[in-house]
Amino acid sequence: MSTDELIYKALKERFGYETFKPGQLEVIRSVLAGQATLAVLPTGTGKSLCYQLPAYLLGHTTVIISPLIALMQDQVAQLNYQGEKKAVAVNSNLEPRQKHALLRRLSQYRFIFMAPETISQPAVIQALQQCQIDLLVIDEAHCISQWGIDFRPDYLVLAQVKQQLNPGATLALTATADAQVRRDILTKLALQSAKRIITSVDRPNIYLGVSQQADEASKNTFLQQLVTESQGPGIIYFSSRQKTVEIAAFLQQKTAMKVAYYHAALSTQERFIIQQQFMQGQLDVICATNAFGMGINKADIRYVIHYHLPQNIESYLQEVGRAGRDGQPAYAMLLATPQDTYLQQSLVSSGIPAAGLIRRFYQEPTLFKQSQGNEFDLLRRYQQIGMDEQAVSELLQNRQKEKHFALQTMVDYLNLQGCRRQFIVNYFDEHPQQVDHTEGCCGEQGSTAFLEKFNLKTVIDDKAPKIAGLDHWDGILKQLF
Amino acid sequence: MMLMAYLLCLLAPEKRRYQAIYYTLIGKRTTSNLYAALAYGLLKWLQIYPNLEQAQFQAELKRLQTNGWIAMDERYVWLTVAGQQKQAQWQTALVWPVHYEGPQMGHLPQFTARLMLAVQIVSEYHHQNSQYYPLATSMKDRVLVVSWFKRHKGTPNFSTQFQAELTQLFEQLDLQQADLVANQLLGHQVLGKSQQQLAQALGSQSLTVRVRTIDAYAQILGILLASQATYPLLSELVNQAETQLSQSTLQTWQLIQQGASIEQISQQRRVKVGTIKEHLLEAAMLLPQFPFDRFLAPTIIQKLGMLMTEQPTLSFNAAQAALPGLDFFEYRLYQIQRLVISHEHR
Repeated sequence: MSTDELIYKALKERFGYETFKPGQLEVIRSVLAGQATLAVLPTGTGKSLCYQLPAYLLGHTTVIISPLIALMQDQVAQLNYQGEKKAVAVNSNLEPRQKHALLRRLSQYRFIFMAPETISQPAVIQALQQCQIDLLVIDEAHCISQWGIDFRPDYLVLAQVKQQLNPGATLALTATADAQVRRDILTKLALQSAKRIITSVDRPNIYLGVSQQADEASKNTFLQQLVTESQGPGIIYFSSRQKTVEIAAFLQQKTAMKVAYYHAALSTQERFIIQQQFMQGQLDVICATNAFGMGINKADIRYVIHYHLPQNIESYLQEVGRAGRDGQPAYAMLLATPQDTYLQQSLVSSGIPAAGLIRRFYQEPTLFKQSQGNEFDLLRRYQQIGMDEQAVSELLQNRQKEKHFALQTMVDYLNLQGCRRQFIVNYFDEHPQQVDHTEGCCGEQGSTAFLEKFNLKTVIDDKAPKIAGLDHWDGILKQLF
Repeated sequence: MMLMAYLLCLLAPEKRRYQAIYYTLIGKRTTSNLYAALAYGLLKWLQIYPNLEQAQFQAELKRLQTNGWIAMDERYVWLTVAGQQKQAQWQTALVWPVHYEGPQMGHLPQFTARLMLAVQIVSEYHHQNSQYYPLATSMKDRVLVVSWFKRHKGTPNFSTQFQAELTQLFEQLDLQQADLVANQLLGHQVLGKSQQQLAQALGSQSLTVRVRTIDAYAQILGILLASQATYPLLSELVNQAETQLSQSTLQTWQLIQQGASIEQISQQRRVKVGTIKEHLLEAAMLLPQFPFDRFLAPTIIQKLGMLMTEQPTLSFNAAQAALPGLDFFEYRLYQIQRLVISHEHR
C-alpha cells in the first residue's frame, strides 16, 4: 500500500472519516516523511488529527507539549473516548510516587502529553530518552513567541529538549500566528528548515457580525432578542465572571431557554457536568468566560456572541472558530458599547508586573518569597530560566505595548467600514486572497433580520423544558446500575 | 451577595486578621494561621472553600465595608454596630453545614471527586460501555480511583455490591441531602445536574446548594471513617493519611505516638527541633485528643494558668519575664490547650 492509501485507511478505521479538512493531509504527509513541520490551521479544522493519525502509522511514541493541564486532560479524555487507552498526561498534578511509577512505564504509551516545565526536568528527559520518539508535537506553538498572545517563558527550553530527545520528526502546531509570530516560532524552536503549511484563517460559513449599542441596557435587550430568535446551541463570551452569572440569570428569567454559566472559579465537577450537558445538547446557550471552549468538540454550535470586546483578534478568532465546525451556516456577533473599550483598556495592564516591582524583586527576591499572584509567578519563572532584570523589564514593556496594539486592532475591527473578513485574512494570512465581499459575509447589525437570510432563525420552539424539583436518589441509583 | 453574608458571619466586633481568615477558608495550614483560626473559633471551617480566590475575597470585604458593616485597616477587620445587627440577621437566615469539621476533613473536595468518579466508572462498567468521558479530576485522584477499580472489578457481583453500599449510605442521610447528592452523580446515560440547575429547581441559591452538598459529603466521609467494615468498597476511596495532618506532621506524630522525644525525632528525621515543635503545635490544634500533659510540666500549666486568668491576652514576653526559661513552644501549646478546653465547654 502506498503512504496515501495507508493514511486514508487509518482515517477511516481510526477516526471514521472519509475526507480531510484543508491542510490536514499535507501536514500528515510531511510529518510521515520525517520533515520538521510548522502547521498553522484555524481553530475548528482538526489540528489534533495532524498528530494523532501519524502516531498510529509510526507505531511508537508521540510526545505532545501542551501549555495547560486542563487542555492535556481534555485531549487524553478525547483519545480515551476514541478507544485509545495508551494516552497519558504527565504533569505537576501527580504525586511524586505516581509520577515515578509512570515514568518507568512511559514507553508503553502511544501519546504522552506534557507541560514544558515538566518535560525539561532531568528525570523526565531521561525517561523519554528510553522511548523511541517518532514525533514531538509542540501544540499551541505561538506560546513560544513573546509577540504571541499567550507567551510562556517555559516554552523557550523546547529547542534544547528537542535536541536531547532527537525525535523522528517535529511538528509545531498553532491556530493563531501572524507572520512575525511564525518567524519567532521557527527561530526559537530551531526549525528554520521546517516545511510550512499555512491555511487561510477564513471560515466562510461563519457570518461575522458586529453590533454597537448605546449602553448596557440596550445591549441586553438586543442580546435577549438575538438568542431567542437564533437556532442554537450557542456560546456567549464575557470578560467577567460576575457577568456570566448575571446574564445567565437574566436570560433564564426572560426566556424559556436552558442557560448555564461557566467560569474557572466553579468546581471541577460543576464545570465537567455543564460541559457534558452542552456537548450532549441539553443546554441552549452557555454564558462563559474564555475558560470555556478548550477541548470542546461540538460540531453544531450555531453562534458565538461576544458580550465584551475581546483583548485581541487572535483570541477572538479562536473563540469564533468554535461555531459551525459542521460546515453549516453559523454566525459570530461582537456586541459593544462605548464603555467596553475602557473596560478592556483597564484590563490590559493587569497581570504584568510594573517596572518598580521588577527592580525590587530582583534586588531582594527573599522579600517576595511568600507573595502570591500571577505577577510573582511570572517573575519567578523568568528568574528560574535565567533572565536578568533588564531583559525581563524590556520584555514586559514590549508586552504591554503589544497588548495595547492588539486591543487597538480589535477596536479597528469593531469600527471598520470595509469587509471584516478581508481585515482578518489580511492580518493573518501569508498570501491574503481577495475576499468577495457580499452581504452574506459580514456587517453591522441593529436587528435580527440577518438570521432569516442564513437560515439561522428558530423555526419551532424546540427548547427543552427546564427541570422542576429533584429526582429521588433511589431512582437515580437504579438508572446508574 | 451570599458569599458576602457568609463572610460577615465569620467576623466579630474584635479585630481579626483578615488574611488568616482567608487562609483558613482555603486551608493553608501554617501554625500561625491555624492558631488564629482556633482563637477566632473558625477552625471548623478549615479548607471549606479551597478555590476561593484572594481577589474575590477582597472584593467581598470591600462590599461589606461599603455597606458600613465592617471596618478595616491594613491587617485587621472588625464588625461595626450595623454589622453586628446584620450578622445576627444573616446568621439565622443562612444554611450552615452541621457535619463539616475542617480539621478532620481537609481533603473533602478530593474525596468528593473520587467518589463521583468511582460511581461513574462502575456505572459505565455495569453497562459494559467503555466509550465515555471520565469526570475531570486531578491526575492523582484519577490514578487512585482507576487502581481501586482494577483491584475490584474481577470480584463477582462487584457492581451490585457497590450499589448496595451506596444504597445503605444514602439511607443514612436526610432524604433531601441524599437527593441532592444523587442528582449530581453521573454515570451511564446519566449526565448529572449542575449546582446551578439544582438551585433553580429548588428555588435556592447556587452557594446554598454548594454548602449543602459540602455538608452531605462531610457526613458521608464521617460515616465511612466511622464504619469502614460496613462499607469495604467505598471506604477505600477515603485516603486515611490525608484526612487530618499534613504529610510531614503525620510522620512526626506517628513517632511521638511510638514514644519518641522531640530531640530524638529531630535527629532521626534530620529536621530542626523548631520544625518538630511546629508539627506538634499543628497536631495539638487539629487532633481531638492531644496529650498536652506530655509536653507541659504541671508547674508551667499552673503558673501560666494563674497569669492568664488575670490577663488572658498575656504576651510571650510578659510570660517569659514572669517565668524565666519559658519556651515559646510551651507558651503557645498552653494557649492552645486553654482555647481547646474553652471551646469544649462552650
